Amino acid sequence: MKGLAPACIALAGAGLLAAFHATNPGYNETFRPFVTDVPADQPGETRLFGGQVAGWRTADRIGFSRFGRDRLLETQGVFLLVDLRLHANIQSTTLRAVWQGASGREYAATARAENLPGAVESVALQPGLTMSALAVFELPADEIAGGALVLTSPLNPPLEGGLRLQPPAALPEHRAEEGFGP
Amino acid sequence: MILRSLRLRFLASLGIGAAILTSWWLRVEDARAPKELPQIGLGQAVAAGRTSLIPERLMVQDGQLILEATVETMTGATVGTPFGAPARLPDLLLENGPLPAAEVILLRDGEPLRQLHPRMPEQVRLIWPPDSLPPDHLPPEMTTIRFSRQIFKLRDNLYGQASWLGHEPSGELRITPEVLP
Repeated sequence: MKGLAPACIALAGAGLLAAFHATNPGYNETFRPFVTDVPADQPGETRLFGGQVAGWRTADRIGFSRFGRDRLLETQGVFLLVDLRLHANIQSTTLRAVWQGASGREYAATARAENLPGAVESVALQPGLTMSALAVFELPADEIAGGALVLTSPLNPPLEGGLRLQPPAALPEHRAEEGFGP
Repeated sequence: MILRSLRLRFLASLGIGAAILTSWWLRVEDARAPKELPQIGLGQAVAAGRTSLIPERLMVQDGQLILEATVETMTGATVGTPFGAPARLPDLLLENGPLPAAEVILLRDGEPLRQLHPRMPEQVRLIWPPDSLPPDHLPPEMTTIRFSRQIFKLRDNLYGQASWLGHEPSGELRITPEVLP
């Protein structure tokens, strides 16, 4: 009878600790970028940069000429091209673009198109200057409708701001081949 | 008093005995566990960490050993390092020791494989450099290619965050390559 009270306290303490342990959010859930949802045709702002979607289209092939060589890119899915208007806010920065598809899968801008003029990952944004950029994704066609464009800093640091831009309401225009001049 | 010290000694020797028995049993278990890697055939998928790889054809052309395969990412996001970071490409095993790593190019347009997007399998060619095969191995008879996968841990021991750790062997392909003119 004498040991009952300490035993109860120890049990309650153990139960409380177990509850804390079970409900403690993990590192993956706690340390994430703050991503702001932006409706279609509206500009979004974060601490480092801001921007909006200016248009979008799809293509089966992309032809361009770079470093004296003509190149034709093909894909077994479809190319999604998103035109962007972007600016930096407090310092020069570059961005990383990801298409969050209808299924929730994340498609990074394709590295095969990084030499395209104005490719989003090669554009250095300057404070006070609005610049045009182009994000090119390679993805299955059914990931386009219902998806959104996510812009973050290149390393996507935790606790930094990002934008989830909704595309225009109308579905993108489709072309067999999209060409870019030299 | 004597009884008490005897009891302590008895408990200590019990602990030591348990430790010896456990380590001995671990050795026995280690010896019993099969050491052979799973043998992969052509057309069978093998895990490569972030990706799954299906070898389709092994051939020798112009002194180069070429493995044609289909790779697909198993994750929900674009993978920029299909064979892990740091990359660990399939090893070609010959008696002379390790060989230089293969180059991976897309069958589609001959460009290097740099990304794999979800739900989009890619056909690739793994090409070992032309000087990697010693002359006395041409044409090679039985070739062994060992695949490895990078280990994924959802909650690591440091921060409890998702981490990709070391590589471990995941399968072996033993096959005679076709010799193409």
